[in-house]
Amino acid sequence: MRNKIKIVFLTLITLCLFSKIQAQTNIKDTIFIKYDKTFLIKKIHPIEKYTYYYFKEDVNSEDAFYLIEKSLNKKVRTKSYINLKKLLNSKEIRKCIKGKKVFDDWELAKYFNKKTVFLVKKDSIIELEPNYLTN
Amino acid sequence: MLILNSCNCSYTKTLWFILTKTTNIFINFKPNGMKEQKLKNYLRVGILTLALSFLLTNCEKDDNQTLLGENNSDSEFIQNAFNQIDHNNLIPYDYTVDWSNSTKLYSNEFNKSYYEFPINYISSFNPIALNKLKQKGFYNKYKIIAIENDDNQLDFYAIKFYQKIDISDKSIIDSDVSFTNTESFSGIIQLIDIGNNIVYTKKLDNGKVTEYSPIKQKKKSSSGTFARLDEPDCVVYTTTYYVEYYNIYIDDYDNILYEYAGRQITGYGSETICSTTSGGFPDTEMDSYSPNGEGIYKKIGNKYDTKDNPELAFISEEISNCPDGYFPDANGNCVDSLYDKIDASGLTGKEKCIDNLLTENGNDFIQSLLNNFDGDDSEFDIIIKSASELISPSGGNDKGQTHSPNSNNEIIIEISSSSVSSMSAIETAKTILHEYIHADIYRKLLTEEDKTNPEILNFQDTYNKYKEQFKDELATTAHQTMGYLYVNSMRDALKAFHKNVLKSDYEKYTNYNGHEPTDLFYEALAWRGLKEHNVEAYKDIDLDKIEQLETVELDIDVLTKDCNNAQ
Repeated sequence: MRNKIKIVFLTLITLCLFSKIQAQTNIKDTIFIKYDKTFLIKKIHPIEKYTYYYFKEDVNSEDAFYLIEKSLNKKVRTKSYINLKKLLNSKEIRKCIKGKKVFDDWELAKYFNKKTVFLVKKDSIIELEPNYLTN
Repeated sequence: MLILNSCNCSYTKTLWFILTKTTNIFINFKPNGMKEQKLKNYLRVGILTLALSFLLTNCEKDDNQTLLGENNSDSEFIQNAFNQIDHNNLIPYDYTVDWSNSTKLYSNEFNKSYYEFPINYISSFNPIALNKLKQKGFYNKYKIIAIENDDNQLDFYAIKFYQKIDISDKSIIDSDVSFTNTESFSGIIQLIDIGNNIVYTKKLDNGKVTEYSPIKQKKKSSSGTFARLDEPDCVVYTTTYYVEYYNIYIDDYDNILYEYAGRQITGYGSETICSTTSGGFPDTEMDSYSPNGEGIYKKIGNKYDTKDNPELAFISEEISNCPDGYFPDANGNCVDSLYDKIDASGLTGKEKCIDNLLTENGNDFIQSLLNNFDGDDSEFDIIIKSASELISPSGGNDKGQTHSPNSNNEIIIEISSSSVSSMSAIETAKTILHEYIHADIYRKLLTEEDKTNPEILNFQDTYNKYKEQFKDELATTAHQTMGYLYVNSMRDALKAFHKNVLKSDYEKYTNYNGHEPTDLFYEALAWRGLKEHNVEAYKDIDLDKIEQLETVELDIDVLTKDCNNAQ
């Protein structure tokens, strides 16, 4: 009797968790990054006039990964910020090749591309659109 | 407790009551020892979990609708009552009704029983195809509703759903919508009668009603006018009927643009218009300039059709007069696809001319490359357009730029008009081809549909090897890969294009030099845009050949610049 109750109890818990996970599968992850001049450079495109941000690490790269300002969004609430320093130093982004740490902007682009990205400034939250460019 | 309160089911309180009573039974049960005490605890948590799970997953029923039952014999009766020919215009697409599920429901809104039926489209020109074009606004979806009237007969209406687009959730484009269950629906629901009048409107935000105009039902006296249940003020207007034409197209920035193209008066009549108590219709497609998507549509309304008095406004998407499988484009021409997945409408001048020639007459390599993006079922699309000048994020000038796929899986290619203007026609072709190859590399790296394809896996492996091998070098992996894997194909494609398409230029070269251009010439052309980046594949070439390549390369710049003169 006791074992049967245990099984029923565990099944119920599993079902609950499963239904919650299923409900969340379609939601694109949202991340917040703080505007930090240590890592990000803000620029205005000279022709298109849009504002974009790219990573200082990427400044000498032929191709470029950058984030374009999309829209101001006051409704979004800030949760927790992505630690940019930690992200940029992660093994996926800064790969160890031939004993040397190499910044991989394509992997960074892939990381951001799967997410809805918000940049948090002092008084505003701006949605950013990731963009990787080859020439 | 917080969770329970946040659920808006009508039976929440009942369930909570049952839950409390049930747990109390166990709580009041007097245990005989430790075992029973543990048993009791397990049961208590189990029941709580079960109840919570039930409440969280079953709060779907709209308390306005009550299920009466299902009767299979109803289906035949309803089907007989519905005359497809008379009701063809209810929904402005070729459709049939799926009668397979005739569940009788009761609506407290209507005080009547009703049936809701899905529809099937029998032409490829349908809202499902149009919805895929939309970036913002609303997806249009339709169903048929049969409402029992006072004479126990059925009145049929189209249910038109304007489902709010959420670009972060692509799944809603194909999601089912239902009049009966609107719990998570955001947008507008309208009922449209056989005369194309909107007789009911409800606006919802995530299931919550924000605007509402109850159903206008036919008067029993059958005067031909409509009366509302809440006894509104009705005024008789003389109306002018007209059809408005709009050209609808998508601009370079994916905005759907509506261009007013004229109005034709089709007749006069009188209408009884009853004002709504809830402030009129919501501001959506009822607006004067908001048709549905790409193509040509009609807007039928009267001269009082303004935001303040929009009751008769109704946008009727025009059924295409094109043969089956063809659709009207923004100019009204019949084309075999509503939109070409390689959208070159943003190209201008010389680059437009060369791109047209390249995509239509390119060799097998080019055709097979572009086929990956063509057609309605391609995973990625290309939008290629001109830019007066291209500046890279780090400040340099580029001849062409290719952006990684955006959230709609569109790869945007930009060609610099100022750079191209000083290039020969054949080099312009090379520049465009170079960018198409960048697009193909993105496709191969990011595909979800073909990620298990051995050819794709092999390419990704090779790409990653180049990435590791040459990461210390300045050239990007994409250019390294292009140098090793694509240069020979580019050489052959450019040679065939020059000889077969830019014939005049080819002859001039031959006559001037006394021989046809060599393979080396086209290889030198293919290396342009790569060797400047110091790709390893170029460095691997022996010095003698590099000397030859550099000599023959000089000829590229003296060839015909004008696209038309080069042909």
